[in-house]
Amino acid sequence: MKQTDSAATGNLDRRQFLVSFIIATAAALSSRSFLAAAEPVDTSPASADWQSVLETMFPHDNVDRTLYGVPSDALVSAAEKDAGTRQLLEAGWQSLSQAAGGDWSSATGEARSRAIATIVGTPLFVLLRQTTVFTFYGNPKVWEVFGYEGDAWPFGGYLGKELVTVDWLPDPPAPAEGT
Amino acid sequence: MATTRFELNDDSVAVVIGSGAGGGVLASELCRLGKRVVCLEAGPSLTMADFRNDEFFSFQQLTWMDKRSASGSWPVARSSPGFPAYTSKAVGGTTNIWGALSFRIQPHELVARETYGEVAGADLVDWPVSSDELAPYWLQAEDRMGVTGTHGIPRLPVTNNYKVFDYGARRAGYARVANDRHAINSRSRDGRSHCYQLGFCGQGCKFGAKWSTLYTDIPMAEATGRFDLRPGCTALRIEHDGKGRVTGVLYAAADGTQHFQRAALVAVAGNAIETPRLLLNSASARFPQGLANGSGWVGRCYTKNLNASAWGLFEKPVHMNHGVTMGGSIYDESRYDPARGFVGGYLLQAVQVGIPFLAAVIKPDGWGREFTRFVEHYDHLSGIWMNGEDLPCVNNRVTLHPTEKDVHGLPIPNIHVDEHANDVAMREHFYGRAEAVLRAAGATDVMRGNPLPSSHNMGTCRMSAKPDGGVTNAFGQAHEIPNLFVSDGSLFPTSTAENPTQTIVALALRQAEYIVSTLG
Repeated sequence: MKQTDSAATGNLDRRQFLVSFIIATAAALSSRSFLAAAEPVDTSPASADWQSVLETMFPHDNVDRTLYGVPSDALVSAAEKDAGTRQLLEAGWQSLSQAAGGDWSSATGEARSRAIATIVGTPLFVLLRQTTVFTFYGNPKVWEVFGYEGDAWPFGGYLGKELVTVDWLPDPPAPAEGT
Repeated sequence: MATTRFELNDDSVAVVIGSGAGGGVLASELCRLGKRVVCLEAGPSLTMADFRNDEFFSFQQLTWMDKRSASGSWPVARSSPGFPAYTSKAVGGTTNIWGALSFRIQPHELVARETYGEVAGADLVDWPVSSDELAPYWLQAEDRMGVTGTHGIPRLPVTNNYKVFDYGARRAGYARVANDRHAINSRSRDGRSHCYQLGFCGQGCKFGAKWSTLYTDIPMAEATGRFDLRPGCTALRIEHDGKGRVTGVLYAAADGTQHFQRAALVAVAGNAIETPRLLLNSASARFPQGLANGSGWVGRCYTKNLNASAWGLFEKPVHMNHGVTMGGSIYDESRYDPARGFVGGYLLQAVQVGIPFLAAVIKPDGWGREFTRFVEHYDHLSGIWMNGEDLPCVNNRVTLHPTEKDVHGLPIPNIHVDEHANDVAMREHFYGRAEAVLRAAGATDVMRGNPLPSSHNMGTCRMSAKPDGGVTNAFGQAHEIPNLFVSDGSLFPTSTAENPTQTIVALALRQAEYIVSTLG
């Protein structure tokens, strides 16, 4: 089989892959005809705007802020490259800003959370969530902070190494026969 | 090894469609017993070296991604409408990604209609094969698959996740708790390595310690010189002659060219979604409802085992990812006890996933602190999985989509499920019990995981004693067409509390013997 290159393993230009992923996701969501025709806007949301949205959706105090920049940069790049994605994101940004009281950047954290609650399940929510899942929660730098080691092949697995590190519970009793 | 090739016009071969637990085992048994077999496998041929300990990469590499749709009231139709089932597309089928818990079905579950009685809204039946009849084939399957706790095979070592699970289970009052019944080598066996506890059972086992037909039955079949494996070949249609016997299979090769392989018999093992789809897509003037579907049962009574999960957050570290994906089981709730508010039972199973899957699928709409505090304490989490018996209902079914077509121009499958009240009650019971177990072990908080697209697809070509009650007889032979067989989980008349793979293997072993003794 010809192996598919994966962003997760860095074989392909990661950024290019992420942008394509976002565009494809946006296209699939738009084809579900959720997308209302958007009025043209003067300014498109910048990466910092999306970063602020993603930090509201997926707050982690102990993560380097720049790691949120990976998905937010990719969202902006995808919007620059693809009209359908831009339309979805611009319309979404408008509705989020409105739901937050008219201006996202000056809204309180509470108002921002309330605004996010209004988009749960919409194509915008799904696009933002999938982008974050893939590029943020799929990022080994994030795993490191949360205590997930990922690939166990390089060190040959946990057998005889750290298979049982839970020392705060007793060992299980010997199982009864036949269970 | 020299590749065996049979001619397209060789009408003496058996064509087996699919190379997973059903098709792979049937093919290798038929070859061992002297038959010549062509195996059509839609997916590519991979090796252990191709697998990676990377959930997202592996998902793209191994998953059946062909378009499917979903409808009905079940949660998956809402959360995952374009991906209603999680199956694998590669040589070895879903045995590449299974968690390898391997059980016998309890005797009373094989007579569900008799035991549970009439349940309104469900189409419960007894299996046309008894526990005693299946016992010798389960025994063979356990040996073949190397199931721990059987045939003197030692259990796997305890993992972090199992340790938490076992402690919580006993404190919550459970007695039948064990890290057993893994089709994973606890010591080197059958030419395969023992398990090194990579913790990526669902991403293809890089040591080959987990049983998968990819590196067991497929090479066994090849060694006979009577096996012609054709990866990348998608079965499109089964043809028949004027006497109503099947004559062969039209398929599309990887390069898109179409071929017709003649056959003495055809066995379909494409998983309980693709199997009925192929039979329905093979409708003809003589069989206008699809092959083997005169009774109208093809595609009906789709079951998938009830699944759900619960994740406990602990003050002290767990590191659940250190070791096998499925740690072990609590058996107590698999009993028949309608006093709980439902018939049928379920297993609770220790489970772990990595951060990518945890973030992606466990809570598809998860956001905010309620969600992120679980993810950011990943190394303090422990998971419990549910595997329960969902009831067969005649209108829960695989049908051909009225408008959507695949790359070959054939209708895609739609899966419709309206959950029975019994299913909902059982799942709620699980959530309560799983939370009790996790809290008994010290969890300070518990997150419920959504029901996910299932890998345990069953029921859509049910076996039946009488021709009007199902699609095949007790050996998987179509009631209407003597040289057409079904050889996968589609055969299961009911879904049971146990994971299905070992019984799929047992039925395939039994079917191979039947084919050779009756058809020569």
